[in-house]
Amino acid sequence: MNAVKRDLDREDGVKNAFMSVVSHETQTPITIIKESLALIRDEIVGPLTEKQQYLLQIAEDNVMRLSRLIADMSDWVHLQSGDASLQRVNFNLVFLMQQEILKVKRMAETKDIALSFVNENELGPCFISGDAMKLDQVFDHILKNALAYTDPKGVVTVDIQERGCYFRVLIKDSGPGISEQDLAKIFTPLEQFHRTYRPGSQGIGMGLALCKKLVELHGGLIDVNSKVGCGTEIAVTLPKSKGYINV
Amino acid sequence: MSNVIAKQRVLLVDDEPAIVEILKMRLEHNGYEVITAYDGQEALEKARTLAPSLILLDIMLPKLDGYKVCKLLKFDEKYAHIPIIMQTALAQPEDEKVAYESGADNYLIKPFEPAQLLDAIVALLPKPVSVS
Repeated sequence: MNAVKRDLDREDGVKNAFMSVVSHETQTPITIIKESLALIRDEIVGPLTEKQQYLLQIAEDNVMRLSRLIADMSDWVHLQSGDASLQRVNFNLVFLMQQEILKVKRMAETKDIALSFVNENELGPCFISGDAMKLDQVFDHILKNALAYTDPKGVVTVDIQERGCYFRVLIKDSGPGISEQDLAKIFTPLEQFHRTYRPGSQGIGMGLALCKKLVELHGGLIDVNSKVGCGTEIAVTLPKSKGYINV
Repeated sequence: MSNVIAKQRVLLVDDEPAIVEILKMRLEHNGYEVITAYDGQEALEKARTLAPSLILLDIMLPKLDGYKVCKLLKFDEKYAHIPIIMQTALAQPEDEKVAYESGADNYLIKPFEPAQLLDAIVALLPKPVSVS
């Protein structure tokens, strides 16, 4: 039994080391491709025709897809090998969500999607104790997914609710929704479920599995409500920072 | 009398020639004068002799890695004032921690957006001075 376990551990180690090298070594070529495309897009090397702009957009969308895929792979390796630790600080969840919305504003505008923080002005500070970089990764993924799957002129909203010792962040989209069958495996790593292709929306099914792991590391929960034709709502529940719980 | 804005000089260090070429193009387009280095030793020599306004420094470099270059400059009072932005494919928090401990002023993970790089440079450079 011990020998079998040792073999499996060794196999896992080799697999993780391989994924780690692959993810690291691909960053430089991806940077070169991305920046070269950006120089062309910004017309620094000369004006573009409409057709060239269209093809360039396809190339950029797909580099972004590749880039996300590799980043997810790298994070997964770190979480699996158990060396992921949280650099906790107390911070305001409202501020984090404002930043997240700002980051994807251009993506929403390009697709003419109404993106809003519905109760932003009614909220007081919502302090949590967490790793801001890792939670940024979670919300960035969820928001970009929501925008990628929502049709032009659709709606994406962000909402924060207070629930006892927790804050609940709700991200809703007016996209096509997810079937019951696909919902069941939405957090299973490497499971691709069948939503209509949107640029930037495909992956290898690591993104949400990764988000779930990161939220759980914070002592939180993530759940999804969706129905085909009725959009999708993802709720991330995170414990309040102890010093800020109102008794 | 016409006013001329003095160009700010960026020392761009990376062992990957294609990265140097494309970032140089971007920075020159945005009005910076760019000098380049392809290994840690060359970076250190150019930082000491060519008075860059800012250094954009890769970490995994031949001869001398970026952390050492950063430390040698930041712990020398003659050069400590030069802002250093590390740009690297090393994406783990521990790499970032070592970079800041070495004295880096900012840390960008490849692949980054052009706007991210330009914003980071603007934030660290003093406002351009008009030369009459």
